[in-house]
Amino acid sequence: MKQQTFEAERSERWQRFEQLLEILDRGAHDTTGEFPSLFRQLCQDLSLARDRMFTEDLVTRLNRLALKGHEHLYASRVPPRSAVLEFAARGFPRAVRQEGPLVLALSGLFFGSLGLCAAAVVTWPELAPSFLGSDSLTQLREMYGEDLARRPSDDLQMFGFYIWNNVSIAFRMFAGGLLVGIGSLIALLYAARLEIEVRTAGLFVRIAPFQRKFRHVPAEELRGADIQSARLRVRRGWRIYAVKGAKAVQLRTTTGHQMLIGTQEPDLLAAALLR
Amino acid sequence: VIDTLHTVETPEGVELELPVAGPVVRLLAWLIDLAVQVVLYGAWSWIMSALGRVDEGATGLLLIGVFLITWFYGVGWEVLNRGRTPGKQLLGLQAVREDGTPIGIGASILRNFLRVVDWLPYCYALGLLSMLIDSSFRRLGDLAAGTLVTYAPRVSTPARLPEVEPSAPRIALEPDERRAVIAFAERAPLLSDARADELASIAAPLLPTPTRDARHQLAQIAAWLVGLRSGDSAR
Repeated sequence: MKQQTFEAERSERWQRFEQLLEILDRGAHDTTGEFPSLFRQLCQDLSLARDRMFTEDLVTRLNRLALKGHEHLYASRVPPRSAVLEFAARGFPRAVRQEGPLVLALSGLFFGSLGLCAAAVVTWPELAPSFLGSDSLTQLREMYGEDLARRPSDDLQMFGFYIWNNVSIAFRMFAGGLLVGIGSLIALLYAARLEIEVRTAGLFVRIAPFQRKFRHVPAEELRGADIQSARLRVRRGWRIYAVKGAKAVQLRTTTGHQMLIGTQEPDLLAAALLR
Repeated sequence: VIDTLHTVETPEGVELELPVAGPVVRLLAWLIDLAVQVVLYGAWSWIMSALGRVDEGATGLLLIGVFLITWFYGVGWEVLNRGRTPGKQLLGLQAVREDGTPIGIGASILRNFLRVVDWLPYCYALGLLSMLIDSSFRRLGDLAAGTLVTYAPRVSTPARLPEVEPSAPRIALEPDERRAVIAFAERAPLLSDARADELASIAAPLLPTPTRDARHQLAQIAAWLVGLRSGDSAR
């Protein structure tokens, strides 16, 4: 069969298919029900045109039509539920219900003892140190005791900051995992930050997220603070807390420990410490 | 034909060819998207600074907006606009799955989040390297998500053969020779006269009258090859 005859016989059908594609492109439905059979015929025509070595132009045209048809036919109208969602919606509840008595008993143990402790501490506050240890108690008091007068706008501010900062870090770590974890390591190093807090109980420093606990220098041990902003001189035995920059505050303490704390704003930190 | 095509076999048993987009056009699309993002950042911070005079919590909303624009700009457009961000749409590109079907939310999130890795160590260096190595120009994000960036299929107007009197070739032609002659006749009007004559002269020794206008004779043979006979009107 010559190309001329081939085209003449089928061009009407291809046109119909093209019109259908336009309808589908607009988001409407194929009311004629012809779409699948027209698509199959088009695929046959494409194979035939290639096999017969018909002109490049015709093959390209048919290929484009078939591609668009393929896109519409195999597009998932409703996104398939992913395995994770399926597990959250069905699998997990089913597993919990299967092990019902066990889950109930364990929850009873966990929440029951928690409730008992809470009740005990509320009734007899002097019991608190035996549950938490005095260090954690001091920290808790520092965290919640002083500035109760936080405004709601601050909360919203911090909410936004945590989403921007922390979730972004999480996403970057996730992406970095692709390079056998090296990418994550880079993201982690970039995420590192020195957290310095000066409270009435003294100075608290940690390098997040590598250190979970703050290093605490009690206020009564603090003797003084010197700003070191030119060239840092580091000696053996010093404790150094720094992530970036060459400015720091050097602490003098009664215990004789030397501590160097890197900061972008040495003046502010020194002033806060000397108060 | 050597071309940047990615072949997909469909359940109908036919092979579709996806024209994949190369690094340069994708860089341009990315720059357009970057400009759009900058405008979005600007507009959002303008709105929030206006709101900031009323409530200081606006800083929080500002950061949430920045977060959404940074991470979900590409995902949002690709999922809701059939694989096309504004930059891709302007340049006629689209992101699709490797089998040619439209991109879903999972694949889109993966390919956009992994931009972080493609960016490393700086300015999409790793992504570019990956695109140059891969035959379908996939960056790492595309490889992980199983996606491609292709030229969106557009239905073109058929090329026309010049309207000439068909005449049979002097010798029998092989299929790929037939194809070459027809392709030349279709494209000749797009070439400069000098170039078209130069190309046609290569075939001149095989033509019925080797000394005369080779281009015209090739067009006549092409018309005959597609099935026209003298007396027919050209298609």
